[in-house]
Amino acid sequence: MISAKYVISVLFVALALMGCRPQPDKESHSNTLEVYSGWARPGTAGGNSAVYLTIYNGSGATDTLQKVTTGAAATASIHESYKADGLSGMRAAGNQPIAPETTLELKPGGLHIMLMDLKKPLSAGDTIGVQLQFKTAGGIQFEVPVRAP
Amino acid sequence: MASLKNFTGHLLLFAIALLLISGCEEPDVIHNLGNKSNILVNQQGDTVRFPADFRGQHLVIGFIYTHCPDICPVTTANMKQAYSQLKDTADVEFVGISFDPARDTPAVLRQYMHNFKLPADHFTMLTGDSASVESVLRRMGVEAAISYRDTTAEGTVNYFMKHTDRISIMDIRGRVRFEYPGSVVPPEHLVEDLNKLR
Repeated sequence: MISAKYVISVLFVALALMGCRPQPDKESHSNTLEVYSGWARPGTAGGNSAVYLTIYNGSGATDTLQKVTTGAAATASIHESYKADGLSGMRAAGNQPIAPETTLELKPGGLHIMLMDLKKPLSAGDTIGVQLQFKTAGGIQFEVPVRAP
Repeated sequence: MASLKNFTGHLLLFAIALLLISGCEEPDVIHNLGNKSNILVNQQGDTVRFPADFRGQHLVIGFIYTHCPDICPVTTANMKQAYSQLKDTADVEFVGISFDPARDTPAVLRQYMHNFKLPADHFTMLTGDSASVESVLRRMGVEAAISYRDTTAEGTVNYFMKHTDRISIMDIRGRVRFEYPGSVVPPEHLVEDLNKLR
């Protein structure tokens, strides 16, 4: 006969485990925004590269990604890849509003941070610093690894 | 004896029918470059007659430009993954053709191969003079054009291109038999179709 004490203990452990959710791989924190899963592509000096990452807006209000800067390149800006008339291309994407409790994902084939005119080669294993500027949250600085595909 | 003769006859007819049907399933020739080559240059600066210098090999051909930070690296990655999935690579060469010969010099292509860790014994990057590159693109049904220009804070003018997103498979006779959206195709599809030709 299974004792009530045993059943209650099992239930308690089960409830405690249900409260454990896998946390995203966070690289940077602010009170309102979480930036994580960032990585950059290799590139040659003078060439271009791309940075990908995920931004979660945990605040109660919309915030807007306005600007990106990095010491690794002369210019960083938000771009998006697109397909039109059977051709693939890229264009500037402008400010990105992020509604509360939603995620903005910058990933291959879509939105990404374009780095232009790299100041030095980026090789797999390197790390670069990137600063995101938000309308409300201000600046968030984080490091991303360079990964070969 | 007569029935054995009939059976043999029917078996022969069946075998001929099977052969005919299997022949009908061969992939179509999409573009035939086997009758004429263009002069291009590889990442070492050597002259290459394309596709004549690769006769006897199956080619997996991706179209890229090195200033493309998003789509083209995915195309390259798909080619590299297909290479790693092949059990036998003896008769296969992976070729990247740049549609930006103005900036993609042999030295730049060498660096691109280094950045993406592409093995030099099975990967070749090609560039050349504009006319030759444009001819190859035209013959393979690939389009590329400057889409817009941007200027960095230091005043460097950068341009971006819109282009066909393409990986092609060419047989040993210089004929394109398969085409795919290069940044989207699962590498295992490349391997599967390549093996149909081998």
